[in-house]
Amino acid sequence: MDVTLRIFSLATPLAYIGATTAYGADFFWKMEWASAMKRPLLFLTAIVHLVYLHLLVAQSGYPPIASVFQLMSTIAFTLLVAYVFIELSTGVTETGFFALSVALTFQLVSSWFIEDAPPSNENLKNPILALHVVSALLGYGAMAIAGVYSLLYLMLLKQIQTNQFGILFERLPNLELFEKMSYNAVLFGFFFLTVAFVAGAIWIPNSNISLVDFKLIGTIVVWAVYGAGLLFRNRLALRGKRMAVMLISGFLFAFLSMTVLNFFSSRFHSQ
Amino acid sequence: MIRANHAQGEATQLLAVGITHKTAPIELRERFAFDERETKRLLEELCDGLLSEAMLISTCNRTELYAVPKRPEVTAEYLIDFLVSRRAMTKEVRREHFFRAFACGAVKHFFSVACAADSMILGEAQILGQVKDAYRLAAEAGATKTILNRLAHDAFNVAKRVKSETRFSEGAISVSYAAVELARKIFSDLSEKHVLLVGAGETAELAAKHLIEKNARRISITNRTLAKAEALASELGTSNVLTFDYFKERLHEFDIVIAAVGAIGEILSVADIERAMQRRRGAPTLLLDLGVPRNIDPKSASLYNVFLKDIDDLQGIVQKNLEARKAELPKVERIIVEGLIAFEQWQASLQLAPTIRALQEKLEAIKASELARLKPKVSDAEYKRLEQLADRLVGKFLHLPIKSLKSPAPTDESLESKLALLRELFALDERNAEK
Repeated sequence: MDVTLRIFSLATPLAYIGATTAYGADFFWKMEWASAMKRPLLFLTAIVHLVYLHLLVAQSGYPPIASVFQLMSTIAFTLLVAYVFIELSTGVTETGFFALSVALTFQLVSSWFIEDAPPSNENLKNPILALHVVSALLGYGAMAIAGVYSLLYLMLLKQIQTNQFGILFERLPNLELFEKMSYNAVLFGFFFLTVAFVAGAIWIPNSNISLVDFKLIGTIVVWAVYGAGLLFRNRLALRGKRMAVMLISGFLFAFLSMTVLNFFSSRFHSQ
Repeated sequence: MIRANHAQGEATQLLAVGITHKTAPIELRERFAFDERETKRLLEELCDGLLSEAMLISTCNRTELYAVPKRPEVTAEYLIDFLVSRRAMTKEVRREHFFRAFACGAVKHFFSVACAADSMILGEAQILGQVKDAYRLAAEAGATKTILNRLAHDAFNVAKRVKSETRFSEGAISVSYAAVELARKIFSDLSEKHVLLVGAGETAELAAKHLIEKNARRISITNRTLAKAEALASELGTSNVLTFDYFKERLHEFDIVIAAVGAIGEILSVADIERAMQRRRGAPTLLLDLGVPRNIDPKSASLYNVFLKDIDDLQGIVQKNLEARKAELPKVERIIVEGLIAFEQWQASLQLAPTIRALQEKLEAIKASELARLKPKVSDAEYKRLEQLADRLVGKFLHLPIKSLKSPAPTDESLESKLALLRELFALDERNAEK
């Protein structure tokens, strides 16, 4: 690992810590410095992480998904980009701490365990596979954001229902907005997961991936459940708490299939 | 240290006396309420002989007189007795029912009143308007001069800073406004939501007005007496009136239902709400039961996506906001103290003005006499240069003593000794005496 890459592998989690701290300090304590610095730190984090990922690509010659820890860093970046997009489009900054905390967790685990020399994988140089991977990451990133917003929805809902009007009631945006943001994130995520499936289906004949791969089946289940939920949303009255619970479960399932199971495999899809 | 020499040389001492929610019960406070006409007459009378400046704040929670006496015998007790005799309440009211504040204490109290830190409901919005009205009346009565003009404007600035730099005025502090705050935590855009008012009384009206302030546009009203519903509808600028027998049929159309019908009991049963929710396909509904006894069956709260809140629930929001305001008090206090320091510095500068003016006049006179002596001996161009030089020298000579005088003095005595020394060194009193 060269010096520049080493510096950025340290700077990236530090940038995440800085941005998450600023969002947290603004949300919980309304600190002036945090309010002024949170957005510059968010953009700085995005830039530092982008440079870091670029250096990883330069080192190995293919997207940074060769190991589970590279993948986690890429997921953190996807979450960050998805959050930046949501913040800029809605103007809501109060959820930043929660979304960035998830991204920070991914990045910290990645930075702690990442290998100096990742395993090589020539397949990753295939453009169809690259499309498959990028789409899948965007899809899962959006699903993760939907999961975070659904969790916040449930927490705010609980405060309202139990008349515990605490800091979440005071600072978070309203339930309807959370529902809307979760729904939009799921639509976005579902679209990219579909693209990932199509690209994956085209690429599979050129690979030696097993069709009974557990993660493949798991992802198909997640995709099918999200699709059915979106299609029959009105008929099933999938709103409010029910939808939030479904999105959190979906995210947890996807997270497990993407990360934890990979600890038992040297490659992204087991064979 | 609000003892200053005015231009006229008289001694001034700001006094404040009053009866407030902290010192007396409402039965006494209400007897001391002054309307605008009475206030003006009182101020004119006081400024006719006793006071050089006066201002009276009269609200439901306080009647306070701020005064700059003309004569030393006009004390706080004197003013209290004056107010009591004015209301012919010598038997019911004792001096202990009044607060009294002097100098800095009076200034600090006035700032606290203006920014609602002394109000019964901390941070309430009305008091600043009432203070502004009191100042306007005093100005119209010709009862404000240097001290009270400055005091009032400083108080407005303090109140403005409190509003912009703290969260002292944020959050609902009434049940009807808390209802709206809750609605805004459930729905994102109230202008798209259908609101139904069940009842046309004061509570329903107040809640509807708060909703309209927050952009609610689609408001329907139902009431047992149709005429009352129509009257309220016209006041709120809506034409949507439903008959009381029919509104349950259309309950599913409404996102927010505010029930505030007094002394009638339950109007909406669980079955009514359940039926409506089925037709709404799970879309959330906020039911605000502001009636006593309650108008909506409390069991409805267990239905999916139904948010049912009664007065006690909303009181929780009010309580939370009041606690949040209380937590902001240290910040408010800091702003008040900063305002107080600025006022004191200005007050001190009033004391300095005659000495500074005398010193300037003295040096200008020396300059003029020396220039006059030289004028016949030099050319016009040389005289102009000498004049410029003299101006610069006078400016520089004045700069240091004035700077020293204006720097904060630790005590009144040290400021007075500085002034005395300066007057003696430059023989300023002799010159005034000659004048």
